[in-house]
Amino acid sequence: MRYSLLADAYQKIEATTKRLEMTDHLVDLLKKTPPEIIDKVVYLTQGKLYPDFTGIEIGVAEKLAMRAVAKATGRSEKAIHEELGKTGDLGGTTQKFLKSKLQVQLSHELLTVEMVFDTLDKMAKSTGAGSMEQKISYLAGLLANASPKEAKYIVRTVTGALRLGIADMTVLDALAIAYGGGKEAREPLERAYNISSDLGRVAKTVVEKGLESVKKFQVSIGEPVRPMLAERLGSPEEILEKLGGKCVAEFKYDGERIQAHKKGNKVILFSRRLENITEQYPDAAELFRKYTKAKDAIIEAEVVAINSDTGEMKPFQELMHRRRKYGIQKAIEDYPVSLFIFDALYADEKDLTLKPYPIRHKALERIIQPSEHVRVAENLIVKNLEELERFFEKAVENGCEGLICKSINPDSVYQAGARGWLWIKYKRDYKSEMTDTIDLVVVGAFHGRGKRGGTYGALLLAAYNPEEDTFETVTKCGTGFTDKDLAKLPKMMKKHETLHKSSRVNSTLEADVWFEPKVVIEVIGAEITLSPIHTCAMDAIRKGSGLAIRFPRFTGNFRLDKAAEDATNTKEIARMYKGQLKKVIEQ
Amino acid sequence: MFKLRIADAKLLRDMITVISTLVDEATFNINPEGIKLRAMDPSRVAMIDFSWPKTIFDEYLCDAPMKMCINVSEMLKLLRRAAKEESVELALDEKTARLTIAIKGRYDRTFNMPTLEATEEEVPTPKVTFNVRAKTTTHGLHQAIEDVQLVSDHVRVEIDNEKMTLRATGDLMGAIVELKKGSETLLELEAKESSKATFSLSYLSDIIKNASATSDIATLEFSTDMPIKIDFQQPKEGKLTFYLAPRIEVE
Repeated sequence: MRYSLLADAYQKIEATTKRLEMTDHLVDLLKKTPPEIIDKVVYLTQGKLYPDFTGIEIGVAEKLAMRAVAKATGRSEKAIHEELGKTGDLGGTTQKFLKSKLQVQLSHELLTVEMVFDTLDKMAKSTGAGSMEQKISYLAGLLANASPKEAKYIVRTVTGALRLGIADMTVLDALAIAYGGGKEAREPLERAYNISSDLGRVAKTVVEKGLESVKKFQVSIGEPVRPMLAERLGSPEEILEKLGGKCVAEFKYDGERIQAHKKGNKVILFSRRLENITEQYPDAAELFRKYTKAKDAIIEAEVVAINSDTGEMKPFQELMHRRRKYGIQKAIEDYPVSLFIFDALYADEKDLTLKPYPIRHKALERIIQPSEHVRVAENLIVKNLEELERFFEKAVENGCEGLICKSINPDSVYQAGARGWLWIKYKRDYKSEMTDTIDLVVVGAFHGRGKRGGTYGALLLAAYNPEEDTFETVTKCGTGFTDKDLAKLPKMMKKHETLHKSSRVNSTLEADVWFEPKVVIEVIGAEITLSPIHTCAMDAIRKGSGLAIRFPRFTGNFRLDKAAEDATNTKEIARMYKGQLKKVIEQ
Repeated sequence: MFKLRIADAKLLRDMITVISTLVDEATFNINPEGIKLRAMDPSRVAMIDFSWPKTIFDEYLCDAPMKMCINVSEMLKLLRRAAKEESVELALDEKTARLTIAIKGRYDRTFNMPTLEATEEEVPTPKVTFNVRAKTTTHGLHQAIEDVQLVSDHVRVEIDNEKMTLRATGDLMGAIVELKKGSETLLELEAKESSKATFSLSYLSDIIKNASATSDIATLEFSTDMPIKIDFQQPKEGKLTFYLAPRIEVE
C-alpha cells in the first residue's frame, strides 16, 4: 500500500474539526487498506507503532529530525532552523524544503506503508552507541524518497507531532462502519478494545475474522484491561439510593492503582494509564508472585507506601518516590509498600470481567493468600447510612481518601474502560488541616516488630477531658522517634506501666501495654478527622464519633515540664477541628 | 561453505570501513570467484560498486554462490581489535547463520556475529555518459577536498582541457583549488566538453577519505549536472567504484 494514500487521508482528516467527517475519511482509508497491514495503519494514524502498553515509542527529538531533513534535502541545518523558527512546525518546514530540494538522487523509490512502518520500527528499536546517527540515516532515507506531503507527515510522526485528533472511539466508529456492517458493531468492538487496549489487534481481528470473532474477545494476560472507573457523589444518601439500598464499601487507599498480570512465575504490572511499571515495583511483583495462588491471573490492587516499623500507611506523595528509573533498590528499602487487592479480572483460566462483583470478589478471596504485605482491600457490605458513615470515618482515619461503593447487583460486571454508576466514589468534602503542635498523654503502647523488636512500635496517645477528668484516645503514633528515643522509651515508661487500663483512660482500642497517664509528648499531625474508634470529644461533632489525628508525628519534645492534666484538652481539639475545616479541592 | 583468510587484517578493515561510509547493513554476493557488493545509501544519493577476486585473499573457499548480509559497523568494531600484520579469518556457519571472525598474530581470538536477512534488491548501474575524465592521486584529491571543506558543505567541480577546479562558497568564506594537467596530483585529463557539477562534501569527503586507505589512484568521470563516477584503483582485479548524485546549483 502506497504511503501517499495515508498522507492524503491525513490531510483530509486534518482539514476538518467535525468528528463525523473525520470518521468518514477514516472509513475510506481503512477500506483501502489491505487486511494484512490494517493494524499498522491503525497504529500509524495514532502516531504510534504499537499499543501504548508495549512501551515502544519512536521518540525522535526535533533536533535529530532536523539533521535528517538537512541530509535529505541538501539544505543546511541553519536554514531549516530559521524556517522552523517562523512556523514552529517541522513537518511544514520539511514539506517546504522538500519541494525545492537541492540534492539529486541516483534513483527514486515510491514509499509504501510497509517500508515506512519497518523503517520507523528499526528507528524505535535502535539503541546504544551510534544509534543517533543510525536513526538520522534511516529517517533521511525515508525523506529522500518521500513526496513533500509524505515527508511532512513522516516528520510529524517521528517527532510525536502527528496530532490528527483521532480519538480511540473515532477509530472504533470507523471500524464498525467499514468492516462491522454499521454503527451497531461499535459496542462489541469497543468492548474488545477495552479488554485488550490494542486497537490494532481489534482492527485486524474484525477485518480478517469478522465481528463474531471480535465478540469472542477475552481478556488476555499481558494485555492490560482498560480500568473501570468510578463516578462520584457527594452524599451517602444518594450513593445508597443509586446502588439499590445496599452495596459493598471498600477503602479507597491513598496509593497507586496497579493491574497485575501473572502467568506462571512471570508478573507484569501496569499503571492506571497502562504503562508497564514492573521495573519500578519489583517488590510488588514479587508479592504478587508469592501470594497469588492461581497460576495465571489478572488482579487489581492499590499499592500503598507503608511505615515498615509501625505498619501504618503513608500518604500518596511518599509512594511517588518509587516512580523512578534509577536507584530502585534503595527506594524499595526507603519506601516499602503493601498491596490491597480489590478485583480479579481473570482467574482459574476464566475471563471474569462479565461476572458480577460478588463472584469476582469470591474468586479474589480464593486466589489470594493474605500476608503481612498483601491483603484484600478492607470492605464491608453496608445496608444503611449509619453503617456507611461509620465505615467511611474508619477509612479516613486509617489514612484512606474515602470509600468506593460498589454495586453487588447481578449486573455488576467489570465495565472496562468506562466510568459508570456501578462504582461510586465517596470522598470527603471537607478536611481539617493541622497547623499547630499539640501535647498528648501516653496512655498505652503497642509492641514493635522488625527493627523495633524489643521496644514500642507505636504509642497510644490521649487528650485530657477536664470535665470528666479522663484521658480520651486520639491517635496511635509511631513516627518521628529517633533510635535513641526508642531505646530509652521502655525504660522511661516502665515505672508507669499498669496491669490493666487505668480507670481514667477512655479507650476502645486494646493496647499491648497500659500506662498511668503521666508522660506528655509533643505531636503534630496532618489533619483532624472524625473517628469511629477514638474517644476524644465523642459526640461533640457527630453523634457516635470521636476525633482522631491523621498521620501523627512525634516532634522530639518530651514535655517533662507538663503534667498529664496540662495536656491539650479534648475541647481544644474539637475547636481546632471546626476552626480549620476547609473544603477539599478536587485535584 | 564460505571461508577466507587474509594475512594483513588492515586490508579487510579498510575495505569494510569504505563500505560503512554508505551502508550499515551490507549484503555481499559471494561466489567461487570472489566477493561483490553493490549498494546505495538509504537516501539514494550515493552508490558503491565493489568487487574483490579470490586472488586478493591468501586463502579463499566458496563452493556455491550465496548472499551474506552483515552489520558492517558491528563487524568493524571487531576488526579494529586486530593490530598491524595480524591475520584474519572469516568463516560462515550456514546452519546457525553466524559469521566467525578469527584474528591471529600476537595472540588468537575468535569472535562470532549474526548475519542478517539479505536484501533481494538489485542495484542497477546508473545510466550516464561522461564528457570529462580525470585521473588523480587519491592523496592529492583528498587534500584538495579537505581544503574546500573548510569553507562550505558543498563543492563545484569544473573540468576543461587545461585543469580541474574545485570551487566552494560558504556563508563567509570561499575557496578555489586548481589542479593543472600534468601536475603531481592530476595525472591525466580528457574533456570532450567543459563540464561542471556540484556535490555534497559530506558524501564526497567521507568517500575519498575512507577510500584513500585502499587506493593510490582515483579516476573521476562526469558531465555537467550529472552524477559523478569515482573509481579507486585496487590491487589485482579488485574494483571499487562510487557514484554520487549532484546537487542542484542555486545562484
